[in-house]
Amino acid sequence: MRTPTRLRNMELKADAVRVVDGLLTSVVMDQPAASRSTNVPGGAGSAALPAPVDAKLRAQTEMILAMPVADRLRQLEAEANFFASVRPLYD
Amino acid sequence: MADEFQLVGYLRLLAKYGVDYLIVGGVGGRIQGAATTTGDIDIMPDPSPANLGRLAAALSGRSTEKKGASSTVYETHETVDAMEFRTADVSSYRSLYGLIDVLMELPGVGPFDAVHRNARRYQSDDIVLIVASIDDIITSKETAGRSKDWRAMDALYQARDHLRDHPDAYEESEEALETSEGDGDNAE
Repeated sequence: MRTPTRLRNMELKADAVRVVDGLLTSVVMDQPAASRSTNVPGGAGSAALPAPVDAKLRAQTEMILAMPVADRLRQLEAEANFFASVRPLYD
Repeated sequence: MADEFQLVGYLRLLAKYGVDYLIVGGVGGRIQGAATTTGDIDIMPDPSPANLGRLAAALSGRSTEKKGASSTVYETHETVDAMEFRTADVSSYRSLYGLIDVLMELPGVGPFDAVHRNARRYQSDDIVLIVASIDDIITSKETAGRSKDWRAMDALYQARDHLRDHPDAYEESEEALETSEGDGDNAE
C-alpha cells in the first residue's frame, strides 16, 4: 500500500521540479537578449561570461539537429502554417 | 492566393530553375538547429545577371505579389524583372508558395561572396542547400536589430554554442561545398 503513495509523491516532486525549472527559465528569458549576448560589443553582459544554458532551448536544439535536414524543413513548414492559422505573421 | 507557406515547394522551384542562392534568416538558423520559427524564406542570390534572370523567372507568375517599398501591402506583380533585386535592400514577394525575401546584401556581413565564404552545405532529399553560417546569421540579426530578431537570438546563440562542441552530423563537408562552387561555374 505504501508503494502507490510513494510513486504519487515522486510524481508530484517531479512536477514541482518542472514548474521551478520553468520559472527559472522564465526569469532568464525575461532579460533582454542583448544583456546575455557574448557577441554584442558594449552589451551589459561581459564577454568573459558564457551565455546561460537554457535547458529547454538546449533540448530543442538537440532535437532539431538529430533530425535529417528534410525533416527539419518539413517541421518548420508545419509550425509556420500552424502559427499562421492562430495568429498573423508580420514579415 | 495561397496563404500556406510551402518551404519545400520553394526549394524545389528554385532548383527547377537552376537558381544559385544562399539561405539566410530564420530558415537558415533553423536548418542549423536554432529553435525558432518563421513564416517566410530569405535568400541571397548569386548576383550574376544570368542567375538573377533565372530567379526572376522562377518568381514570376499569375499569383505573384510584391510588397511595396514603404508599406506592408502586397500588390499584384505577375512579371518579376531581374533588375528589381538590385534596387532595394530587400525585395519581398508572395507567390503560390508563400512569402520570400530576396536580399542582395546580408546586414553586417556583406554581399553574396562574403556570405558564401563561410556558408554550409546540406542536402534535403535530392536538393542541395547552401546555408549562411550560423555566425553570419547571428551577425545579420544583431545588425538589423529588429525586435522580432531579438526574440530569436537566444535560440541562435544556443545553436551556435551547441554546434561548436557537436558538429552537425548532417552537414556536408567543405570539400563538397567547393565542388558545388565548381559545378556552378561550369553551369554558367
